[in-house]
Amino acid sequence: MNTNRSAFAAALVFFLFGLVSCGESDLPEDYVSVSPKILAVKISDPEVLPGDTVTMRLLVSGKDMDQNSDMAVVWTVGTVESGVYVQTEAPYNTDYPLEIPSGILDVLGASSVDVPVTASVTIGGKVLSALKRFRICLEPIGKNPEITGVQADFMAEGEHQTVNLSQGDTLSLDNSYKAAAFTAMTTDLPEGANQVLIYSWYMTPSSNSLGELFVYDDKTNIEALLGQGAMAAEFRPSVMFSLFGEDAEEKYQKGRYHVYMIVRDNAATSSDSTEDRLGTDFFYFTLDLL
Amino acid sequence: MKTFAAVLFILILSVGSSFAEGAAAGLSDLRNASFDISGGELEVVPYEPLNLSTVSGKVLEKGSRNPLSNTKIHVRDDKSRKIVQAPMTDELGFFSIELVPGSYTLIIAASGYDKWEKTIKVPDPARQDLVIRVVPQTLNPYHVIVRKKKDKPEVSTQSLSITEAASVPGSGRDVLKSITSLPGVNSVSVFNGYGKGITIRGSSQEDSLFLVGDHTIPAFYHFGGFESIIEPELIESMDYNAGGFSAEYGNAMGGVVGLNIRKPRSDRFGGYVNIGFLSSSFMVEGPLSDKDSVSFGMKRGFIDQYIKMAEKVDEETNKDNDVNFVKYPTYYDASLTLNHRISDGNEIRLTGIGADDSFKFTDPERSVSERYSDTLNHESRFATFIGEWDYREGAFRSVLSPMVTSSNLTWDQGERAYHKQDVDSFALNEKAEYRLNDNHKFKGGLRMDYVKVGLDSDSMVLEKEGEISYDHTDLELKINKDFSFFYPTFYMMDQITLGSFTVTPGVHYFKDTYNHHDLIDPRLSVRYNLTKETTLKTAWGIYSQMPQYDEFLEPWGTKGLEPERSVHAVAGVEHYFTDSLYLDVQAYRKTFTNLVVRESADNPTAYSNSGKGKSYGAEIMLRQNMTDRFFGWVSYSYAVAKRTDGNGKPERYFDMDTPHNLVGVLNYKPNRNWSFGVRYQYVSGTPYTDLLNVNTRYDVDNDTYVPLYTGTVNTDRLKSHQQVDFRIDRYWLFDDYVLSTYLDFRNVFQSKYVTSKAYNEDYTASEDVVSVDSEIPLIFVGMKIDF
Repeated sequence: MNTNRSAFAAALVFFLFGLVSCGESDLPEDYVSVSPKILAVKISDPEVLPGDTVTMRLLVSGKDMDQNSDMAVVWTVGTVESGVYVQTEAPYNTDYPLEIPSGILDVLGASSVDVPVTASVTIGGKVLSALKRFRICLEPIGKNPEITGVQADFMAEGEHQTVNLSQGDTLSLDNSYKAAAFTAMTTDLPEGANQVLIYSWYMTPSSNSLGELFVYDDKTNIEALLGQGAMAAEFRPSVMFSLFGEDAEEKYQKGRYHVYMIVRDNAATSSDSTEDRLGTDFFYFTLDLL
Repeated sequence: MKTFAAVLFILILSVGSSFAEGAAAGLSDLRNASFDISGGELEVVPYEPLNLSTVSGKVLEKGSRNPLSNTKIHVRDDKSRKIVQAPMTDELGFFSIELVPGSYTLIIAASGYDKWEKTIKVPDPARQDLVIRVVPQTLNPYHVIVRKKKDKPEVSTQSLSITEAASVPGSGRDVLKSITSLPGVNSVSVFNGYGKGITIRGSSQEDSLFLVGDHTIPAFYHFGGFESIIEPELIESMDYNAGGFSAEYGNAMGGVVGLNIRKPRSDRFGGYVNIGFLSSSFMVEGPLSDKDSVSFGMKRGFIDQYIKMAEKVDEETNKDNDVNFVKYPTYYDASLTLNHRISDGNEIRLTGIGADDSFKFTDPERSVSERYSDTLNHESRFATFIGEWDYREGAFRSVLSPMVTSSNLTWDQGERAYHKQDVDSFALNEKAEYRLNDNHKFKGGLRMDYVKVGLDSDSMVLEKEGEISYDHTDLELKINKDFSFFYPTFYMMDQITLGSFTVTPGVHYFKDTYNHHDLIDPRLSVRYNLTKETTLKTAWGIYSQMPQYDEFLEPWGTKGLEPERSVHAVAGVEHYFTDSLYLDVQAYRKTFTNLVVRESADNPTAYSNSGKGKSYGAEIMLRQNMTDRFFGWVSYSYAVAKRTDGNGKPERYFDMDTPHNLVGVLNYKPNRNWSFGVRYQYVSGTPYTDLLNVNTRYDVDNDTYVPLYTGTVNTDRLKSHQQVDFRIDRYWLFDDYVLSTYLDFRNVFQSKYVTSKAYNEDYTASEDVVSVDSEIPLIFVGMKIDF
């Protein structure tokens, strides 16, 4: 039996050589949104009753991406074969509402059905699309996680400051700060609504300079800002950005950056796709390094 | 008259007090005595006792302890300065000389060895048996068995002795890698066996046979490419057949690479200990009795130790995203060979090869989804036992080879991303040949394969030839089922020599009982000896191959697929300038039909046989076979390999199309202490599909970006590449062992060897992926003791 194991083993080899600082990739980190990129599709809610109205929202990142843009998003819901099929355009800056036919499950003869949703936008001649599912069922439990805000922590000359950010806020910092940490705050939902939350931070290069932010993973500085034992990375609830280039060893990276936080809800265990947790929420703000 | 006198003389002496010493002199030395029986009256001349002493011992090669048989030992009387005796050693290197007292010099001047001489006093009561160690002028740390050249009707075969294979610079101790320096072969290798496998005349690795003896084994590399499982000391030689091969081999459209297992040595116990860059290994071998010999070897990889060391370094950098190893990567392998000689030409051999690889780690940076966790667990192990009963009686020869393999593999990356398989294989292979006369030989064979597979898998579809890098993460292919497969095979060949012509027609039959297809492949090869040194050769044949398992096993694929077929046509000429220097020129054309292709991206488990293709090219090789001091070759291959993936689809290049491949290999031993090797390669870049900034679809629930590319694939080509590899071996000769160190420096000038393209996650940035040796000096060093 031929099995494609080489990719995994190759990953191991590159890891080994990566440890000795050789063979590293020069590609941008995945958390850097070099050009416009779809980061999330949020559907309220991931599990709905027949007859409910769901709203859909797309999140596109990009250093020149205006979240209030009214560019057209093409929403394609369902498939022709499944009996549920809608295709329409809606502005990017508004929620797209869709009413679920009340008798859909009876028509399909099923107790639940996963409905695929495709959202497409054309930016600079390039088509970006995203595929997401939501579930129509008789006993909806899963909910979208809810990001209530982002807490920003930064320190200058031993003085620790904290600011709570709301969606779309702009945080301005100057070069007296070496790094800034951000923590996503989520609401505790009823038991079973969320299971395992997966966090992803993204950011753009500067929109008005050549500056770049880097995730700063130095434990000492993380603990200095967020407390003993704290952890921060682009895949954790908290992340810390260096304002002075990679490893905080370069010049001050003056500029305007867009920062995005995505939370996805995963099942604790999932033996097939019907057990998937499909909840998503996102948050964005702007970091202005003066 | 003299004889009679001598007998009488002995009788007389037998009553005397000097009997013992006189008898010891022996008949041959009686010429030193004098007596006279003239006049009818016996007159005894006063006897001077000769005091003959026996000097005995054995002659060995220093270091290897190999006995020097049939070697002349000159005995020079130091007084007269004359050679007084020149006995020969026997088959085991033993000798015995009887000498009168005096001072002598023993001299050995054997071909290939330094002159050896030593003065001895006779008698010398302190000396028992002499052990003479003569110093070889060149060293070969491998136990080489000299065999008759194989009488095979192949037209595209190249053979490498193990000494050559293990000495090709850049190969380290990976004998399989040395194949990639031969014409018609290309291997895009990121590191050791990692890459796109070994491509032979445009055919990918899965289309070629890689055999150990008459069978294949589950894996040739640890972790799919990290280090070779097969130790060079287990191998006697390698045969590489680029195409147009005989009916002996079936179910393959590409080429055949055969590793021939060496018999354990039967003259004495020996072995080696090797400490290398990636692993260390040992082997012991020797006779168990007059008829039985055994070898046993083991290897243990060091990668876990390197990672632990690297972790200590990384700890100081105080990062929060470290990979956490639950189980450090470890690998082992072992081999066992038992040989029993029943009688001359009648031997049984059992070879066992086993390997065990495992690791488990958690990578917090790895993208986590419903399907994929951040933890990857991998375990694989196998044990293969290959028997071989080689029986020769007159003009008849039979080789019966059973094989048993048990293997299991686990790859686990999450609740819904795992693959576990247990495979038990049984095979019985019988090859027989009968020589009707010097010009007519009949060959035939029968083979039965039974494979039992237990599968428990939740995986995705595998990427196929030419497909762009994507993953149907939304498609879950679950299977939890046992399968069994039975494949009967037979072949017949008739090798007839008529004057200068040798014609070998043959047919190979393979039955795919799962998909219900018969694979009947007629083949023909013709050789014409233009002169004693020059041979024209040609071959034609049909080569069929059943599809890959994931292509016909439901739910992964489509049951009932027909075999892929290829027609090979090869023509060439070989000319021997000397017994070991020859030129081989070949041209070939292969056409492919029934190639398995995915019908559409929307239904990735639906395959059809609508693909077709062709490859053609020419190869030239000037090769000097191994002598005591030197071997090497220069080869150039021109090749084109194109295909279409269905009716109406555009023609495109195969993934591994490599138009130009120039290789030079040179290994020279100026003396017994040093060996130098250099390898040069210029090779064209392989085709690729440029996905930079193509439209993408973000699969939100699986957190994956899928490129939406619908154009013709493989329209761009990676940069061509040239590199120089260098190897030095240094030997130290001791009485009973040889210590050797080697330094194998890959890609000395660290030229950028682009092996593929890499993209960031949404395909908005790309970069060249280069081989590991392009970025860091990859110097394999090792120390080995052969005893």
